[in-house]
Amino acid sequence: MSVAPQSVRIIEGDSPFAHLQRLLGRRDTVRYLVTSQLKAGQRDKVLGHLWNLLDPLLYMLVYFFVFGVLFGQGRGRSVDFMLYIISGVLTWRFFDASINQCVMCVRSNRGLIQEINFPKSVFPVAVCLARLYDFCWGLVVLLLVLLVTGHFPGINVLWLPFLVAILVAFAMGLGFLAAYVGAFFADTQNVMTVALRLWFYTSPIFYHVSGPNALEPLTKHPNIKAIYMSNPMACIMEGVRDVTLNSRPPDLEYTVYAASVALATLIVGFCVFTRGEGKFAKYV
Amino acid sequence: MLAENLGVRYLVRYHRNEVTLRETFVRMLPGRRTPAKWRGEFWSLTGVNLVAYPGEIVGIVGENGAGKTTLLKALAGICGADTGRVVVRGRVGCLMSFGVGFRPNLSGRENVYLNGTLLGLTKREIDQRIEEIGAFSELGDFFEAQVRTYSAGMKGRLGFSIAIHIQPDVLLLDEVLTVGDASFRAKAGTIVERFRTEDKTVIIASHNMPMLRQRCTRCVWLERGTVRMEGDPREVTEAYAEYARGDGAEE
Repeated sequence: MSVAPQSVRIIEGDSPFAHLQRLLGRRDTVRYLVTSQLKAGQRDKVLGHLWNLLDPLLYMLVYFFVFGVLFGQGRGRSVDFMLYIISGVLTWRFFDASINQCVMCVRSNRGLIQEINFPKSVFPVAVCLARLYDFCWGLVVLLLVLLVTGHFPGINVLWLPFLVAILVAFAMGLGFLAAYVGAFFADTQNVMTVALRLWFYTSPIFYHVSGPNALEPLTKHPNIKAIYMSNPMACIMEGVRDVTLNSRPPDLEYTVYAASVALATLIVGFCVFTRGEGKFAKYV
Repeated sequence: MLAENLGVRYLVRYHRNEVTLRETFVRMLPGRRTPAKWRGEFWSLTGVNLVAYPGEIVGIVGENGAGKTTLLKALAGICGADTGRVVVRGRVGCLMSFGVGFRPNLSGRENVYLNGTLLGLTKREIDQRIEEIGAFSELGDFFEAQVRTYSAGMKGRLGFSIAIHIQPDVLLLDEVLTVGDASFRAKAGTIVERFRTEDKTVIIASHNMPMLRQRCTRCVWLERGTVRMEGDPREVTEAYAEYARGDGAEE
């Protein structure tokens, strides 16, 4: 029975490559899942698609209000620091939303999983792509704000898609892992919420890691800075700021490091997730 | 096209209840034997052999919990087999329950596209069939309405419509022909008959004995995850009915 007729389908433990092939065969499915997620969020709203622009804009206004007005940082280094925070928060929001939705994506699609046989890996992919859509609108708003405030990003902004790709790969890889664990343990969501909160504060969002205003421990000890920058999110955020706010190419070392970690995470995550393909229907 | 379920043989480990992180950590402690209660192994199906050829309508009977639905899920590839294997030649269409997988926020039409691609159709194939699916489901204007406004019967009709229009070579049905109003039941019955004449395979799990006797070419009686009896629909359903009666009388 080593040679199976062409149309025979054998349901057994398969290699990650076979799973990848099946996933790539379901591009249409991913597309409909993404649009259904986006539509479900928009359909009943009065302002509809306008929210794509309004949402990141209002989000920025909140940070402008909190840090610019309430904490009084609005005068001195003001606008630059606002943009610094906003670019970090935008990047983080994509990451955070992707992971959080991936954790529950297998469980929340219990109905489909128990009714139809299909590669379950479409769910984390669709979640990340739907969030990427939002993130792109956020970046558009960010670039508009940059133009309005007189920061012209210059030619180095062409690095941005590359950095976003690293970010998406990293988020998707962790999303696969989170989805796998989340399918079997409902507790995962609680753990992830706390872990992501910690991660949020250990990423360079509300403070500088380099330059004159950097956080003190980071400037004093090079080792601490090295440990701090082992967080791929820190590398990605600094890169995103470099190419948008600072109009310079991203740090090569950090970028290569982040890219390799992201790729490794994506591969490991996908391999782990595919081990669950046959099991999800029984346990969710 | 040819549809064939060649030798099916598997055991399914099913439903590990109440698994929590604590239990998992405790289980990982070295030298600690896991109590059987925690391992919670339950073989829903043990060593089932089943062959179905094109042109056959196979009925599956059995008590609740005998493994009928698990068998269908394993045949459809929804549950992986823990022992043995399933070989199916051709496309499998599977209808387990009434539209559990529909997205309430999307319209009927959008759900057809989503479910259709999940079932393995391409966008173009669905484009060709969408109007037919809509017409068959008898939803009328509701086809464009969000699925959350549907009644259970409407979801069921839409689900059945999709399942038969993907043109499967093997159609798996769980209890669905017994639900829905009389006219839709009749329509569904003729569809099943058409599948038989088109040399396709239909497998129906049901408690509706008269329907099984009428439609099926062969019946399988499952009990506690194994095949207890297999053969002529009349003989199997009568033996099962007698067993069920005897069981009831004893208690």
